[in-house]
Amino acid sequence: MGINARNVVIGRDNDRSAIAAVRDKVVTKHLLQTAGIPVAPTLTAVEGRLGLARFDPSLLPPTWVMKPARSSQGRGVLVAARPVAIEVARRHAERIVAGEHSDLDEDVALVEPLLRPHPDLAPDGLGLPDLRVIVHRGVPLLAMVRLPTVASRGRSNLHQGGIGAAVDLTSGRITRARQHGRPVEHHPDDGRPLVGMPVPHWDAVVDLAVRCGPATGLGYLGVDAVVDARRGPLVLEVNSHPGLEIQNVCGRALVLS
Amino acid sequence: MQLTPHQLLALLPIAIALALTLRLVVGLRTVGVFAPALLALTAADLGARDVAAALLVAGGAGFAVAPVLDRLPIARQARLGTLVIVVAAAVVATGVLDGDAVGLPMVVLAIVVERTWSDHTVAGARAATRLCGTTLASAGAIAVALTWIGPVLLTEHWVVPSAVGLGACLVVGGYRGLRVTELVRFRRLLRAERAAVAS
Repeated sequence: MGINARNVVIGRDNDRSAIAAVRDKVVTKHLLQTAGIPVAPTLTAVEGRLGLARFDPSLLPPTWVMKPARSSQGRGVLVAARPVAIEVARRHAERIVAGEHSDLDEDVALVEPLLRPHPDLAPDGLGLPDLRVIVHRGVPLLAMVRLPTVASRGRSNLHQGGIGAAVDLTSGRITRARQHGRPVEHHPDDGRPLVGMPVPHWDAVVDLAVRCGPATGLGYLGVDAVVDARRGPLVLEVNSHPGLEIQNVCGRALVLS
Repeated sequence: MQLTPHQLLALLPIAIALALTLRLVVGLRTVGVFAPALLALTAADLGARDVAAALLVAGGAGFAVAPVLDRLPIARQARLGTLVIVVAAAVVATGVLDGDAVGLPMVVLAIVVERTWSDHTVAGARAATRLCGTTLASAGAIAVALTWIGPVLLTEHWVVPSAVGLGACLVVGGYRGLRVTELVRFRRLLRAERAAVAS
């Protein structure tokens, strides 16, 4: 499926108000929580000048993540894996609230605890792998896990050197993996075999992904989830216009139900 | 060809239809869908050499000042405004554009510089260079097409280029197939699908 065909499906199956809702991570979280879908906890949400004046970074735990509520493609995400200066946190929040990372007049700075990957998925310190499940009208179609690497500087973006690994929807095991478009059998950093590796809590991940459709009102969606070491599967984001690279990762074309 | 404002507006639908074709059929990702169309119209009006020189001056000035602006504690909109002013000042100071209607290219050039810089900070220099290069190449292709089609269409009533542009937009807008760039992006999948069908 190409972008043109995907956009037709989106125009048909995704309501405009639902698209607008999932572009805002604060609204998305609210919708998902209302539907009983676990999401990453919110430490604080900084909104407007008043919110900035009240924002006290010294009250945050030592590690956290700050992200714009309405940015895309990982823009403006500050990961505090170790304590950062209060001024750095405050300045980043100011830039987010000013809409710097979302090309808007204003935005909300969302602060969440730093999630730790489930040890079966990645050792701590190599970044947080995220799972992507494409769902159409309640049917999961394709799934992949994006594994960060040293080359991708801990980010899971595939074009920056992250590994894209296809996950079999039934068994929850990785069936093939690619980095920079080339097949890889083992993780380049720690040598773990990737093909055949089971994704922990897989059934729960698929269940959450399927429930995100009715919760957000989207008929065609890409659900980004993580498996946190302590909290288990959590939905990070819901995409109304999920990218198509998953087809290359899985080696299968998207065929709609 | 020096164009009157009326002729510029008459060619706009054609430029837009060509820009849409490059996006929806070819699959080129540019700074906005219509920035290449506006740049191409400018080139058709003021001459490709002048616009290329203006691009060099604007790009040089913009990229020199963008990293400095990025560090200033000012709003994004103020940064874009400052960028437009700097780009305009550089173009005026060097005298590379000497036409009646340079306001449009100023704004388009500033937006191209701003978006490219923004892409540079998010996705890296390679992605930004690709975006900027694709935008300029698209603008160049549209400008060449306009120099061929324009004189023919401009001899007709203004309704003709408008109708041609509108019709082309509707036809191209209905295209649902793979874009040319996707034939490359998904070539392995397509090959595997063909092999499966053949067997």
